[in-house]
Amino acid sequence: MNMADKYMQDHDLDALFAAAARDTAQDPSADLLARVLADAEAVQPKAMPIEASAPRRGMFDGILAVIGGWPSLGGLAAATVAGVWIGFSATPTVLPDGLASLVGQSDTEYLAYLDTSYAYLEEDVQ
Amino acid sequence: MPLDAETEVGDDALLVLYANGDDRAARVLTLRLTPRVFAQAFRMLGDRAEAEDVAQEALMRLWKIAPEWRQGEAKVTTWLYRVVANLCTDRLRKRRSVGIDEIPEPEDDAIGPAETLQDKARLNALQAALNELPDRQRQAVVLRHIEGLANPEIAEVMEISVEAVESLTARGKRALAAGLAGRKEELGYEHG
Repeated sequence: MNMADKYMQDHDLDALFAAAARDTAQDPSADLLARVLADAEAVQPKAMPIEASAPRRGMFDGILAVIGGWPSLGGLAAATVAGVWIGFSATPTVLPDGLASLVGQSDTEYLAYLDTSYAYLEEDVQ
Repeated sequence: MPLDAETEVGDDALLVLYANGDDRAARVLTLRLTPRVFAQAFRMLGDRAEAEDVAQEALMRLWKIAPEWRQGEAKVTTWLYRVVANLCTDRLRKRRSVGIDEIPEPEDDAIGPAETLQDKARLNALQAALNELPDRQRQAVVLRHIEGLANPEIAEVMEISVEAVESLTARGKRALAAGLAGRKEELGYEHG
């Protein structure tokens, strides 16, 4: 018995491989396909829903965000009040006759205090 | 775009679609990949039920890794063949460790429409001879000669050199030829 007798021929083996590749025995069953698809769907990440757009922010919200939100706005309000208080309490220095005199005086005097170029009006009055 | 008709859409592109929640991609990938994964497992294990478990497990791993899959880095099928090869190796090792040495006889007796009894007998004989091969040889022979992969891809699947693949397939083929020699006449191979 020579080697050719002992072993299977190469082309027979190749034909057998080709038949095995076509063999319907290695086709997956419908049950397996269903199980695999069920797995796939069970662990599949869900499509991201399109998020509802955020409510539109008004101009006030925009400004508030720029200055740093409500805490900053509180500080700003305090500073404003302080400014007004300082303004009124400092009137003896700025207006020797007091704020009341400014309000009570004639228009020309009021203008003269604001700008010395109006001082001639006061001189005329006097 | 009807995905079912788009056979040219690559596996990795489909996997990205799948990860983005596209349910058509899940169906196309299932239909495309399950036959290949199952065939490899079936030829490695020689048992339908076990091969089904391995195929399902391998594909489950693919579904889970899909969100992190980087397109273009690895071929999906190469990755899957490797997962199946490892799962089969684990099962074969477990069989041996619990002393179940005998590999189940190919139990599929259904005759397909184009098959003769002799075809069936030949295929069963081939499976029985494959079952006798060492694991690595069997893996290389199945991937090369039944799944039709090129040697470089088998090398990637098995994480060995191309030369090692050539050596494994050559030895495996010789061992199969010898294993089937005793049944040549019975299987209708009368010449040579």
